[in-house]
Amino acid sequence: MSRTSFAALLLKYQSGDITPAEQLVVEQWYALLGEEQRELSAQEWMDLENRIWGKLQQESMDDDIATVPVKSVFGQKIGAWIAVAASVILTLGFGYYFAQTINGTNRVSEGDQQTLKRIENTGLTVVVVVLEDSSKVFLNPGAELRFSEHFTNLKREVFLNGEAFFEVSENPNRPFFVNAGQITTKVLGTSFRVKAPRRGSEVEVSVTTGKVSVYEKEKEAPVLSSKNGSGVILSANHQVTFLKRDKLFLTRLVENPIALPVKDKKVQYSFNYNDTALQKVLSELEETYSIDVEVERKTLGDCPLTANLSRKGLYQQLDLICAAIQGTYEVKGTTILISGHGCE
Amino acid sequence: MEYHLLSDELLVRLMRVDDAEAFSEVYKRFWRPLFQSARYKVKSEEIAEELLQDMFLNLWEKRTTLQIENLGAYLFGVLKYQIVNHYRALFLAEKYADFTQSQLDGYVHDADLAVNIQDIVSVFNEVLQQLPPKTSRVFHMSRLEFKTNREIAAALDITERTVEHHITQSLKLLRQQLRDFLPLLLMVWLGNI
Repeated sequence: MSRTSFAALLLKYQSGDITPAEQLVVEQWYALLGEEQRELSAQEWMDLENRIWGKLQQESMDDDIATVPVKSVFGQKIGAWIAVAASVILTLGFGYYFAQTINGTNRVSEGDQQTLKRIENTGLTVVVVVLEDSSKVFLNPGAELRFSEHFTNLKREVFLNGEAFFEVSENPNRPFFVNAGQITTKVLGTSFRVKAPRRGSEVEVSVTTGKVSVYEKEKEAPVLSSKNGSGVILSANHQVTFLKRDKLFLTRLVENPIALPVKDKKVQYSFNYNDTALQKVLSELEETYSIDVEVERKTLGDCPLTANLSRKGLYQQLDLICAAIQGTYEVKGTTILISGHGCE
Repeated sequence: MEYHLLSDELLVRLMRVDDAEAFSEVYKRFWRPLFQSARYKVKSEEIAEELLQDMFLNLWEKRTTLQIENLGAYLFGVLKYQIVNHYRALFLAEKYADFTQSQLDGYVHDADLAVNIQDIVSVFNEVLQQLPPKTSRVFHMSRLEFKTNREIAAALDITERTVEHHITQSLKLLRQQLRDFLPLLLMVWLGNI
C-alpha cells in the first residue's frame, strides 16, 4: 500500500503538481537510490557506446541518424519511452452507470457565459446531461460543463472542468470535441472519461469503447503519423495523462480493463480452453479487450492450455494463465508481457 | 567542422537545424556519465541501456522544439525523470500482481491517497531528523546540492575522510529506515528482476 502511494507521489512529482515538502521527499529519495556497481572494462565501455548508438540508428527507423534527419516515430516509440505509467488517481469503478438524472438532490446551476450554457454539478451524485445530439455526459460532483445549446453543422464542442464520463452519439460528419485544461479530445462516436482537475495540472482521458484522439489545445488533431508528437490516438481500455510541465502524453491501460461490447467484436469467445495453444488464447484476449499481449519468448506461444477463463476479469484471467504455464506477467505501458520458461 | 571543439550551446543550436553530426557529438560527450549514473541508480545495465536509448531518441525527435539552456543539466534532468518513471512502474507492478486482492478491498479514494502521501512526507521528515546535525548537513550538501567531497570538507572545515564517513553513515541509516520506499525489498519480492 505504501509503495502504491509512493508511486502516486512520484507521478505528482513528474506532473509538477506537488508541494515543496513533497518535492523534497522525492529529491531525498532519489538521492538515496544507487549503489556502487562493478567497474566496467575499457572494452565493455566501447561495446556499450557502439551498441547504444547502433540501436539509436535502428530505432530512429530506416534512416541513418548520422546522415539524414530521422523521421518522427511518435506512436511506436513514445509509449515505450514513457514506459509504464502509474494509474494514480483511481476512478470510482463504474458507478456512473447508476447515475441519477437531474433531480432534487443535485442542485444544478445553469447560467449563460458567452452564449454557452453552463451546468455545474454542485450535488453529491453524478448528474446526466443530455446534449442536443442525444450524446450523454455523466458529470461527477464538482464538475462543470459548458456547451452551446445548438451545435454547428461542422462540429460539436464542449468545455469541461472536473471529471465526466461521455457517451457520444455516432456522427462521423460532426466530430465531437471535449476541451479540458490544456488538451482537446476528439471523437467520432464512443464512450470515454475525461478528468480535468480544476487546479491540478494533469488531465486524464480513458476510453471505454471506440477510439478517440487526444491532443494539445489549439493544435490540429494529429493524424497517426503525427510529426511533432503533440497527441495520441487512444483505443478502448487505454488511458492517457497529459503532463502539462513536460507537455507529455503518458499512455497506459485503464485500471480495470473490461471486455468490449459484443457489437465491436467479430466473435464472442467462450474462454473455455482444452489443450489450446497459448498463442490463440492470448490473441482472443487481445481482441476482447483491445490490448496488446506479448510473450517473452516465441516458444511460450505453443504451450497448451486447459482452463476455463470465462466470467473473469482480465487480470484474473492472466493470473490463471500464468499459474498454468508457471510464468509471470507484467503490465508495461500499454502492453502486457508474459514471461516463462516455456513448456518441456 | 570540428564538432568536438564546439560548445554545448552551439551543439544545441545545430541540432535545432537538423544537424545529425551535432547530435552524434552530444551523444559522445554525455552518454558515459549518464549511463554511469543510470546503472548506479537502477542497478541494472540492461535497464540503464534502455533508458539511455530512449532519452537520446527523444532528444533527437524533439530537437527542433527544445529550449535548452544547459545541456548537461537538461540531460541529467531527463534521466532523473526516466528513473522516477522506472521506479513508479516497478512499484506499481506490485499492485497489479495483487490486483484481485485489491479489487476485493475496493478502490482507494483520492482523499485516502492524499493522507497516504502526507504520511510518507512525515516519515521522511522524521527519519531525516534522526540524523546528527553535521551528518545531515553533509548528506544535504552531497546529495541535494551536488557538492564534491572536497568542497564539503572545505566548507565545513573537516577532512575528506570525515565527509565520507558522514555520507556512509547517513546512507546506511536512511536506507534502513526508509526501506519501504526503496527498490531492494521489492526486487527480492518479485524474485526475477
